[in-house]
Amino acid sequence: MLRLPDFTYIRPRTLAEAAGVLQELGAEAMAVAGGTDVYPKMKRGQFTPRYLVSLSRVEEHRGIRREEARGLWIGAGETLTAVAGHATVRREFPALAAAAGLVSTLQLRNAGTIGGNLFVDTRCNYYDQSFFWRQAVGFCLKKDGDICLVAPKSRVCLAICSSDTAPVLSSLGAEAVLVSARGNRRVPLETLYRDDGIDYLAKRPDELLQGVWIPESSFGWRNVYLKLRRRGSFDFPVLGVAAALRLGAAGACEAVRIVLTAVASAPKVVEDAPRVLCGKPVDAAAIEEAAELAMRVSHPLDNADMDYWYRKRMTRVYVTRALRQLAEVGATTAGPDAAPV
Amino acid sequence: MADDYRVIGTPVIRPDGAEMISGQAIYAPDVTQPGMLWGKILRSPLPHARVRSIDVEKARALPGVTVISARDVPDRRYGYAIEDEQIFAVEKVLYAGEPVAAAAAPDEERALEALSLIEVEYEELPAVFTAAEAARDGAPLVHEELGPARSVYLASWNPVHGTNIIHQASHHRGDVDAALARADYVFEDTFHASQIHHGYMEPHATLAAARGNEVTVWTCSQEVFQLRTLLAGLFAIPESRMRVINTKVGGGFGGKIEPRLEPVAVALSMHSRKPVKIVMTRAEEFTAAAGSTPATVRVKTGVMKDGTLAARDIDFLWDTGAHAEGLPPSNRAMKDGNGPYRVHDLRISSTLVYTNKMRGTQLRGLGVPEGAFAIESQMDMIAERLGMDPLELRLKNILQEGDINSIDDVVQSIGLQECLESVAREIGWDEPKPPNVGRGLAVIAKSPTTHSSISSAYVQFNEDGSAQVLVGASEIGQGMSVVMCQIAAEVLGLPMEQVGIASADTGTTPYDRGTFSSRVTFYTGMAVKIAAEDARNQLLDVASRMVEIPRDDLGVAEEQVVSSAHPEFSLTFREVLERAHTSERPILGRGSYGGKGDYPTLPHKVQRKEYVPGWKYAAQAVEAEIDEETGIVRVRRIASAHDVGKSLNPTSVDGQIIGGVVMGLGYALHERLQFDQGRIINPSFMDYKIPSSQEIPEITPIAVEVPLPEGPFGAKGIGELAIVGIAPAIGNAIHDALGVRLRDLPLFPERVLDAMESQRKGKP
Repeated sequence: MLRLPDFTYIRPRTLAEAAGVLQELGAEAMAVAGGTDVYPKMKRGQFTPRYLVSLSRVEEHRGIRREEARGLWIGAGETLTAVAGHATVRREFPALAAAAGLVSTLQLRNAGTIGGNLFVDTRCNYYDQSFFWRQAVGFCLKKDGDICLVAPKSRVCLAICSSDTAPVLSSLGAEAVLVSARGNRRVPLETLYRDDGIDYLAKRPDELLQGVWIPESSFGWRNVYLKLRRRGSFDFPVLGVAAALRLGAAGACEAVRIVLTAVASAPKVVEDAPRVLCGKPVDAAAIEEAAELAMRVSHPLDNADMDYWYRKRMTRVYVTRALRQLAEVGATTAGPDAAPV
Repeated sequence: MADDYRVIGTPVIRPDGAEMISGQAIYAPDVTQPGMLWGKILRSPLPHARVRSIDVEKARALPGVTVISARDVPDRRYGYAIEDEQIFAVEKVLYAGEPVAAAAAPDEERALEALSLIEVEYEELPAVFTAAEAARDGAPLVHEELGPARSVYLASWNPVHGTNIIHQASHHRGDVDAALARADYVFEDTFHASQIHHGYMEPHATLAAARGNEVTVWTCSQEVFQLRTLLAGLFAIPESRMRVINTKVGGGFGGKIEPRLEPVAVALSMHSRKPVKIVMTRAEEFTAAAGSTPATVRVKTGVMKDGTLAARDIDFLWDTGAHAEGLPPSNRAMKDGNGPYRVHDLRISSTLVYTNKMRGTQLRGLGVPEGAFAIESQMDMIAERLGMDPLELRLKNILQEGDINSIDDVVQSIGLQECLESVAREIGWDEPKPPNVGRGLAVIAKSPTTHSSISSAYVQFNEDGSAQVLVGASEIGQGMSVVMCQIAAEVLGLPMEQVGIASADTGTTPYDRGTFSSRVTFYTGMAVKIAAEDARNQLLDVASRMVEIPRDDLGVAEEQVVSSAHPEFSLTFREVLERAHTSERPILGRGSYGGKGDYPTLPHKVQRKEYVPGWKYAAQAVEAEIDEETGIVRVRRIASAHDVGKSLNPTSVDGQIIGGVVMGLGYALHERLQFDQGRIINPSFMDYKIPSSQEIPEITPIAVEVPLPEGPFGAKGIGELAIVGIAPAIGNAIHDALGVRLRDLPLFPERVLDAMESQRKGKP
């Protein structure tokens, strides 16, 4: 097997302490929670930290709890298994239970955290390779090289957002709580993503995610997550559709959010969806129009499994299915995985 | 089928199962030796380049490190099929991943550090990446000259010198052109089977120890004797000084037949005078071990209006990569390419070409999957055109007892029709279907191994009356050990727990050609049966002398020597063996089987001198649901019926069928080695997609028993065929559901949608 390189392992007891260490050590340090992405990437030389700042002893980023008037708090250190199995999550936010439950495999969900999945590194066929492979082909923009191997003319890295939970929490209007030596801040989760495969997070490296709030106002929204991948387990999304909508008493759509994953370096909000869906019943014509819009803003590239034209076309199919489910059956239980199961 | 066997035919759980699933079993990567070094291999980053220079001096300066490259090892070529490989690249590298140098050090980190200090200067050369490109006139040559290369596999090796064509073979019977001209319909279609990986869980691993004037190699191999011969020849030492010991093997599937790490490990150990262990990383497995040998197959079939097959002309183009390990599958297509059909006028041609990629080698089914995808897909296309039921078309044309097959053998002991009818029944062939659900069939056959296929066995009695089986065949996870013990237990009148087995150690076990081509149950099984009979007879001889009853009046039952003529008398095995071990001689039974024409019980008039019994037949059926909007295929059920002759251990037979079907499912739907300019871009189990438990449907294994008189208790092999028919059966089910035909594997959803679009636009 590939060898894990030497590193110094630091285990602070609080997030503030961890943030302080990260600030002090700078670019040579990296935070690690579940480690399901960090360690394999260190073995392949994609991550080359000298110091790992472990969050394993930290307690304040744990817990999932409902607070009246504030919403649902999900600590970033909770495992994906814990999130997927939590009763309130399953009842109110089946899309999140589904997304967390569809990440990789059970073993990795038992170790991997929701925080890790929200900030998971962007992926690309030319980047997610061993050091030997990348050296042989020529290093790419994202690590050690100066050219994008997917689109040599591109000046930005085109690695794709591969989080299942980020589009869902964005669609639910979640807010992130970040801790750093310079203080805490609370921001809408979606503002933390940038459409750049390298600098894909709009946060400083020494800022740590304590957790997310799903606001009280998102309770009662119907929500669903559909995931496209080759197999029914293990695989990262090559397309994910998170949709959430609020229906009025008369059956008209009052509010809607559709967020795609794996079609850009950041979760992609379908900005125009409310324009075509709100203020009327969610009927076939409206769904078709919204799905068409979503497909138009979906720009998968030839850097992941499944052909890019196919993933683009599936955007329409998956958005249609997601909206149909929301319109027809309301808040669904675990969204069905689209891969053959 | 009623019989009075005690152990044969009863389900037996393998005795080493608990050890395997609890992590206690010792596989090749687990082996250690005192003072051992770790070896690592420096591999070419380029698919085709001249090696200008290799400078290992800086690496050698590291303390405790041994570094070797081409100039430090014997300048000899090797290879089982064609001798076209050397331990390290000499003048050129032929694929990205070829070994260029190697280092051994007390730990892996230092070995890797040594590799990083080796300086290699390359001059990149134009390369060829597809068989079609490589076969063209003027294509860059992978091997510039075959020079001293020779084939040890084929008497009639037929390369085209000055090209990348390493072998051409053809088989011609009757007058194909005239028969095609007479046919009512002629179908011509081209199919493409992708390259897949064996996907064994245990990576290649070897520990070599050169001590004194002996070399011992612990490795995971399907053929330890072939390997010993090759290593002894390569390093010019007698086979008596080269011992190959097989560890438990965590899956082979054809990927552990030919040498991989062994020559490098032996060379490093000879240089360092310390044991050296090398374990491949998973990335190395996908980059530098081997995959299947992919093929483009053009099939032309003439058919009469009533559905009778009139003639066939099949053309295979195989891509073997940088080394000609694809020769066995390409050559066997002469026998197997036509499938289990009665076609008199037949022409099969096969061309094997080199490309600048990781080699293709043998993989479960040995060339049959590539041909069967073409033949079985086209059979359904024929049925559609003729307005016939695909089941009926097959029943009309499949081989039956007494028919003459593609290579002029008389067909014997065939249970194919029963296989086909049973899978059709199991899948509900005639039952109504929900929308977007289709069903598909495939019938398949594989020829037996050829006359170089020989096995031998010893069966010896221990002092306490229990027995030990020694065979040279490899246990690679298929359950050979339990079946060999069953055979011996049956013959010796012992319960299963009284029979032990040791296998695949050239220092202690007798010669066996190895574990490949579904041959062990048949050949090694017969050798064990003969050896056990010999041991039993020797035991009875001793007993006969002890009690003065003629041997012919004695028999064995329940660990005792008994006599129906003298019911009052009995002797325990232990009593007889005490006599044998103290005042006569220990009992060692000997058996061997195989070879040219050595089958005295053949019931049929055999037309050819080199006739070998044991063709394997199977039929498979699937039911799949296809999502019209996404093209995603969900297989709902699979039935797989195999003509096994006699099911010696139903548990093992079920396991082999289910395992093969799952592998076939990956081959059909998900798996392919994906290349970009000759480099594999999915070299991990993350990106190379074998089926997960989520993809595996309900599988019904069926054993059809038409005894083969030459096999042990009537048995045939079962190892390979279950992979073969799944891809065409699913392709046929997709057509049944949606009316579209896919000609390329894997049957990706993208391709299903593409085909639906073409159909809407009226393209073929």
